[in-house]
Amino acid sequence: MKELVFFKGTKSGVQIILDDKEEFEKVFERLKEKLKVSSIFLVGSSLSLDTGERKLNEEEYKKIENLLKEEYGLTFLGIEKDVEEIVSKKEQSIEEISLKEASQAETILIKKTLRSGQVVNHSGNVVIVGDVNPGAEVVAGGDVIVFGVVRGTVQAGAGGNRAAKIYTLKFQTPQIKIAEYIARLEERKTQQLQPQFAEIENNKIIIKKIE
Amino acid sequence: MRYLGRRIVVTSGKGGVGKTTIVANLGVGLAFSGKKVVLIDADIGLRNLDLVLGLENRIVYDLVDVVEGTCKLRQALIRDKRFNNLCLLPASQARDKESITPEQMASICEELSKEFDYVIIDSPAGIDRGFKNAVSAAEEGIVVTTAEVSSIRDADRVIGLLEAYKIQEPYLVINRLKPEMVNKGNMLSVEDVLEILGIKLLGVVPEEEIVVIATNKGESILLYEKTKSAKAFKDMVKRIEGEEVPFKEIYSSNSFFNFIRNLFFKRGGK
Repeated sequence: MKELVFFKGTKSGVQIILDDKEEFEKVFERLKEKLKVSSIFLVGSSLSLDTGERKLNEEEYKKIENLLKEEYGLTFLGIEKDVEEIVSKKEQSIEEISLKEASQAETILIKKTLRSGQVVNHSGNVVIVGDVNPGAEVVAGGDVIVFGVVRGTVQAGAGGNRAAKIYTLKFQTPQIKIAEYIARLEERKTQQLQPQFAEIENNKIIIKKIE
Repeated sequence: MRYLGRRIVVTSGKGGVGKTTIVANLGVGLAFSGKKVVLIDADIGLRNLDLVLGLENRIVYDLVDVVEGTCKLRQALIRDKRFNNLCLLPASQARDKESITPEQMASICEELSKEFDYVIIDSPAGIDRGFKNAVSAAEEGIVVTTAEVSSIRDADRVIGLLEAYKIQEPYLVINRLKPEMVNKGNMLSVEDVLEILGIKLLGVVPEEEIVVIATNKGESILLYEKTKSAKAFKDMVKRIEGEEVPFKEIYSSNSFFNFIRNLFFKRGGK
C-alpha cells in the first residue's frame, strides 16, 4: 500500500506531505495514526503542510489545524506556500503578545513558599516571595519571578510566549521550561544566592546573572 | 472567656519517622512539668501509641466507642501508670479511618481542651481521611521528619496542607539524626533540612539505641536522664511552653577536623 503521509525535516522545521490522490478522509485517518505514534518527536518543531495538487477546503484545513494544534499542542504554521508569510506574521505576533502581557496581563503575588503538591497556574506573570520547593509547580503565561530558591518545576511563557523569562536568586532544580523549550540544569549545590534569570536566546534557554 | 488547652497535631506525611514516639515522650515531658495532658491516637486500625506508653492492657473503650456513644468520653480515657495528669484516648484497632468524621474528632478535642492543658493528637501517616481527622481537630502542628529526602519531601507537602487547615507555621522536629553521618557528609544536616522546609525548629532527636529500647519496653526516654535523647525531649517541652532554649550542637561533633571543615565548606548558602 502506498504511504499517504510523510514527515520530512526541513531547514525551518518539519513538513507534513499529504498524498494528493487518495480521498481526504483516508489521508486524514493516516495522519492521525502517524501522529499517535510520533507526535512526541514533533514537539517544538514548526510544522508546515504540503498538499501537492490537492486544494483543501476550509473545513478540511480546520480539521488538520485542530488536530495538530489542539489535540497534540504542536506548532503548526500552515500550508507550505504560506509559510514565509505566516512566519513573519507569527514573529510579529509574539512581540505584540509580550508587550501586551507586560502591560496588561495580571500579575499575581504570592507571599509564601510553595510547597510540594502546591500548584500555581496563571495566565499572566507570577511573583513569589519565598521558595518553590521540590514537587511544587508554577505555570505562568508570562514571566515568573521567584524571590527565593527554585527547587521545583517552573514554566514561564506557557502559552508559547518565547519572550518570557524566569527570574530567581538560585536555580536548584533539574529543569526549567520557557514556552516550548526545556532546559536541564546540572546540579550545583554550592551555588550562592545570586540574582539571575533564564531566557530564550538562539533557540536555547540561557541563564544570565544580574550584576 | 473560658480557658481552653492547646490542641496540637503531630504529623509527618511519611510513615515510620517516629511520630508516635515523639507524641508519647512529649506527653510525658509535659506531664512531668505539671501540665494536664491528653494524648489521642488518631491512627484508627493501626494503633501504636498505647504500646509505646505501656498502656495496652488497660484499654476498655476507644475513640470509636466514644463517637458511637457506646461509652462516655471520660470512660475511654486511660490514666498513665506514673503520671496522674497524663491520659490516653486510644484508637480502635478493629475499625478504620472512616469510622469517624473530622467534625466528630474536632468536637471531641474541643471537649477535652476544656479540661486539659494540652491535647496532643498522633496523626496517622499519609494525607487521607485519617490525616484530615487528626488535623481538623488541631490549632497547632508539629511536623516530624528524618533527615532523608523522601521524608523531607513529604514533610514539605504536609506543611502546605496544614496551611489549608489554618495551621500556620507548625514546629519542626528532626528525628533520628546521626551526627557522625552528617559530619561525613552522608546525611543532610539540620541546616539543610531547615533551608528547605523553612519553619521553626522545635528540636532534634539523635539516633540512639536507648530510644528503641525504651519504646519497646513501653517506657519513656525521659527516664534515661543522661542520654542526649532525653535532653532533646526536655528542651522541646520547654520550647513548647514558650521558653527560649538555645540549641546545643548535638548534631555536629566538635572535633578539630570538623571545625576546620566547617571553616572552609560551610560558608556558602544562607
